[in-house]
Amino acid sequence: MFEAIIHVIRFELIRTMTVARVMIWIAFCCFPALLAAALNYQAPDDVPQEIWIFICYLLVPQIGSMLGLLLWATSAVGSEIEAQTWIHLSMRPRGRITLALGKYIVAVLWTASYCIVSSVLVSFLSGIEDKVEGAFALAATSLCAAIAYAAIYLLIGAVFFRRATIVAVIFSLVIEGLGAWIPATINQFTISYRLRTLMTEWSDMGQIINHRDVPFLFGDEGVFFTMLIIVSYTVIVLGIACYLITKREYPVQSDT
Amino acid sequence: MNTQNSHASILELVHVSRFYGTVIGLGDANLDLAPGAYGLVGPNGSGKTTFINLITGVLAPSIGDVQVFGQNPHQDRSVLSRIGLCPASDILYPNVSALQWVEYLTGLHGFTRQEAYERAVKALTQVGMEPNMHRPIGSYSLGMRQRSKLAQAIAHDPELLILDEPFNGLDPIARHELTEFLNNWVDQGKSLILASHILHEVEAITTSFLLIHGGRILASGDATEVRAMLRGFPVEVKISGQGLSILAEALSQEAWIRGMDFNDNGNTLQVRVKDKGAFQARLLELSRLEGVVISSLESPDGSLESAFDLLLSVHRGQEAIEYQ
Repeated sequence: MFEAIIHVIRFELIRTMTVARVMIWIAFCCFPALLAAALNYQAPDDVPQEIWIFICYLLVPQIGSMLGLLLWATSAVGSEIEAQTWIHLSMRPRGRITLALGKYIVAVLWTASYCIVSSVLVSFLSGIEDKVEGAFALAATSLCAAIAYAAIYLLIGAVFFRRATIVAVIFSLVIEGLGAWIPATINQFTISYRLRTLMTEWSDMGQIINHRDVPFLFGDEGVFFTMLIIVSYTVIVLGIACYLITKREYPVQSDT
Repeated sequence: MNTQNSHASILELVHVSRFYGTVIGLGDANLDLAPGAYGLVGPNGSGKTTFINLITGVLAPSIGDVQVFGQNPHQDRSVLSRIGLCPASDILYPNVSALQWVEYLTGLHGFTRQEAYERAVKALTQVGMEPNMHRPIGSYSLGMRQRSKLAQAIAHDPELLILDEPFNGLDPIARHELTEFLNNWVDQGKSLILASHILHEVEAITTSFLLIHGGRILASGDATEVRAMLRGFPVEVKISGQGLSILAEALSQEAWIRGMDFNDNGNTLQVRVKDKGAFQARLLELSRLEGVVISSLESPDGSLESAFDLLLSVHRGQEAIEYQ
């Protein structure tokens, strides 16, 4: 099965080598960096560090990672149905699960790759003082975001294969956008809350802001526990997505 | 319906039905097929693709049991490595080549990259795609895409090849080449299920048929068996000429006449006949009557297509087949 997953990854990467997709990759890399540079140019010199870190966090790990995954992970099943290629994959003994895992990995690779480059650019073009630490914190948080959100979007794509992107956008806005900022226990069930915790741990932010002052903003569970939650969350969601993709009857073609 | 019982079944359907809401995709299908080549024949929308989706495990039956090579393809997907499917749907991967696509799909059967590559090249060569296999699929003609689809279906060397409307959109040369290829496939002792709504294309490859219509398998067997099955069904004969009313009056006395109609301002008599032999003998006698002149006589030509048309007309609830 590992060999088959490699086949999927290779094939999907070949398919990404179009002018349009490369341009999207470059745009996703540069857009947050340009915004950060514009803000840095306009902002007064005394903007607190935690504000800069927070802005950069929103630009890359939070919003930037989601954009790429909306393109890649949500369409994992729907694009194959639309291209009428689902039937070919369904005819391979482990075709569906290898497709799901292969596309998940490609979504993470594609998103993480531009997020890492973008993290470096954003860190150096923004007002973050410790550029290297900032770039590392943003890149590492982005990688975690890609791993977790790719699984969620894959599940959304498996359930709502016809309107996957719309549902994923609604989920992102309502749950990860609004729900994650509600000052109640419910926000601890969001990935955004865990990512903010990691960001504060890996940057100066944790030393500047006390968790007890803003408990809804990030947790104090530490990196290991937070990573454990993210990985567990990802494995469970990815498992459900793979189960659905393997077992569900998706429409293949009109009858003849 | 049992066909060619001398070997273990490649396909067995036991009371299989598949519903799409309140619509019947396939109704109470019972089938036991020995290895061999079969034409799955039926008009558009008759349920051929539902049948194929059920036997490939893409769909689960609502009722009943499907076994392919003794395994349920929906529950035990390992049996899919013994099946190759060339579906009716087109390939919509414009920016990859046929070689990349076939190599990828072959790799999903569990082959290493090298094995998948070699098998893809071999399969594409077999279907005559070698000169074009490095070009992007988006630049292919419909015939080239059909060949590419066929290549992905045979690259893992399956025992059973299933093709859904493979002749659609092919030019006469490509049709001939595909027919040759499929005849070679059958000659190698491999099994084939060929779904088509065009009977003569199927007849060029196999003489064993599954006739499907309205989600029901109406008949299975070879051409002789199908004709034997139809013996006794009324057929419609069209008689043109003069003095047809005399003819009608005389024929109305016969027990094997099922009905008569005058058409074309009384110049044509359509007769539904149960016993064609008796009808022909009696018509010869009646043609000698004074005032009776028979200028033309149209009746079923005895071809397999006529036989299938008759089966379909019986299934539709018509008393007899109608001929143009």
